[in-house]
Amino acid sequence: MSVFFEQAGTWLPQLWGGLMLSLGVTAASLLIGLPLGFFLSLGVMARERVLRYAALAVVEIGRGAPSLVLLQFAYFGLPSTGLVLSSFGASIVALSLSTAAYTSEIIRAGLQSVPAGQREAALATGMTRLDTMRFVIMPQGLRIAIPALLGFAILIFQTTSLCFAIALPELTSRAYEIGTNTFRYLPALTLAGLLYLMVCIPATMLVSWVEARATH
Amino acid sequence: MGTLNDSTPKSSLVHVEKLKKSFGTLTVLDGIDLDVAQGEVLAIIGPSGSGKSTLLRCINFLETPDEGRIRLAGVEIDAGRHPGQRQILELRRLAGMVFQSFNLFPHMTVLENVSLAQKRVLTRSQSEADGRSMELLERVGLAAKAKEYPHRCSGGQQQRIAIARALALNPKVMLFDEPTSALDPELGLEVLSVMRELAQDGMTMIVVTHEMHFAESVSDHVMIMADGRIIEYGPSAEIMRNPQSARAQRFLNAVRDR
Amino acid sequence: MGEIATQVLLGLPWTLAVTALALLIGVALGMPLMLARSSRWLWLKLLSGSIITLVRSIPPIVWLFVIFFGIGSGYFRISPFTAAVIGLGLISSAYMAEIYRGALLSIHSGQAEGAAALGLHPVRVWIDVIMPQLFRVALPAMATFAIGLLKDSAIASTIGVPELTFQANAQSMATYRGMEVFSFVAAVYIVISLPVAWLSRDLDSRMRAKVSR
Repeated sequence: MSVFFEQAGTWLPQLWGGLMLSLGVTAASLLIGLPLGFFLSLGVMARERVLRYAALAVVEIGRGAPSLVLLQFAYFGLPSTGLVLSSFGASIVALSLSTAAYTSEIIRAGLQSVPAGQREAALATGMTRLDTMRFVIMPQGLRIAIPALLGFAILIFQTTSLCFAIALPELTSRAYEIGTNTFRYLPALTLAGLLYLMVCIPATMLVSWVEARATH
Repeated sequence: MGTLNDSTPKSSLVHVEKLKKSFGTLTVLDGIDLDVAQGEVLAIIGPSGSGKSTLLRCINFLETPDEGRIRLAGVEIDAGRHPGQRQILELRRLAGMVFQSFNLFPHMTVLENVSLAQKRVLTRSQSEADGRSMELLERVGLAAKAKEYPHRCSGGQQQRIAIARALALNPKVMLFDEPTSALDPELGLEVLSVMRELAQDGMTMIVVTHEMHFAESVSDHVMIMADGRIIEYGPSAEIMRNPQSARAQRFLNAVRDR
Repeated sequence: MGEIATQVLLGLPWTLAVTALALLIGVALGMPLMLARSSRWLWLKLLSGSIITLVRSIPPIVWLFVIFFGIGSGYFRISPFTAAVIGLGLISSAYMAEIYRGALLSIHSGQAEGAAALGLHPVRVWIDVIMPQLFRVALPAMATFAIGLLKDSAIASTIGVPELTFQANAQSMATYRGMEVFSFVAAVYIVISLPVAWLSRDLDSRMRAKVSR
């Protein structure tokens, strides 16, 4: 058992580097994907048919295709059109799209769950639709969406593990690498698993706390 | 259909002509004509589903009528001619509306609730708006609650704040959509007394209500609606005691016997 | 392109098989797991709660690796397919348990009380009154999960299961036409999830009528 701890010691720096990369990709995908998701949700609720269908198409593709396929498309597929992305770049492009698609639905649900009376009261005072959205609907709707968005952020962090397949040296691929080198897959993967737990469990508890507070 | 108001249509503050509205195959408003003079209080009563609320909501275009014309304080809109956003906004700024479920903005303080539209619609400065808001909150007796959030106020208080919010834009007409229906009788009284004061101060009001006492004592005219039509119209005392039609009589009896 | 498409579609039966079996395991094992989680015995509650949290806090691909490379390479020889089914089945059980729990909470407590007042044995109350309603309430969430599982089955390609994504990768490497290949396989995934979505929406509206709220 002490052998395990010794080895764990040597592996930790490597795995830690992978964890940082996973977190980095997560952060970048959220930073790009969330605003995109917001605009997509507006697009899906728009009145102009062209805009609505375009937004729906993006959402259906971003949600309907497996994340792994999106990643491979970005890394292996795009080069044939001349656009070559690094594994880091491809990871962010693919996961941002996925984030945008899923969060647009979460945000849309949040905005639509604001009681209709709120909108009516604002409109009745002569406020424009834009002002109504900005001052009355959005603050309430986004607040409702926060627990689900946080939950999704945790999911995207887990999804970065798939970037293994496009040669990104994140946490899972580092554990796998150690495994192939030492044939000690189980210990290496266990350690990686622990690192994932270390992030996901507190994060999940945070989400539960936020959720509980939101429904005071 | 009862006889119309004595004054000629041109002098009325609110004029509604041949208003029709259907939801799918259901006709909710079947050709309504209405005139309300300045300073007048009109109570609209009737059984559920008669179209009372829909009529009120058509006046400020929260519902879009299928046909008909609405003229409010000089702004005229023909529903048949696809009115533009600007016209509708103009109309709404002249009418204040108070809802059955208050609809205060829960994420803002009471003061912010009353000031928001002033800043966005009338482009008043923050201090100007807040000053006016405090005046109005004083008027409805709730200045002390200015910094509170709506959920910390009782239903009656919330509705009075909603009235202040509607008054903040200096509307020419106040529209009330069953303002006390969601309130306990006690809390309803405080709202009705604010409304009574408003009427005494000369505000033109159209009130959809189930409060028969209010209809009889505060309003000048009463309109009874059923099945999307006006079945009675006239001075309140007369209508409440001596309706012409059997349908109206039936309704009033049912309400009185509770 | 037609050639490529046919090659890719060879993976479809594998995708469906992995998904279906993992789903079955999840539906079956999720129930005892949920019961353990809601049980009166603290140790059982904590143990099952920990298992569920553990399974859901580690990415699916890591679980597949653990089963295939970790356990499978040493003592037993597990085929990629078996490892994928076990791994995804395990994960499904954890998610199903939570779905069942949510459904249980939303069934009116009066149901259990009403049945008990009639003198029905607790087990019968469970089997005849609670469980039928539980499944009806849980159906939309289960359908959504099934669609998600269908997409997650793509992960099985990383341990060598010759399903859709695996085939797509192989074709991409062989023909250098990655763009078309991956677009095609993405479309396949989207298309096969449509029937499940329609079915779920249809069943949902029919089931709703039979559940007391």
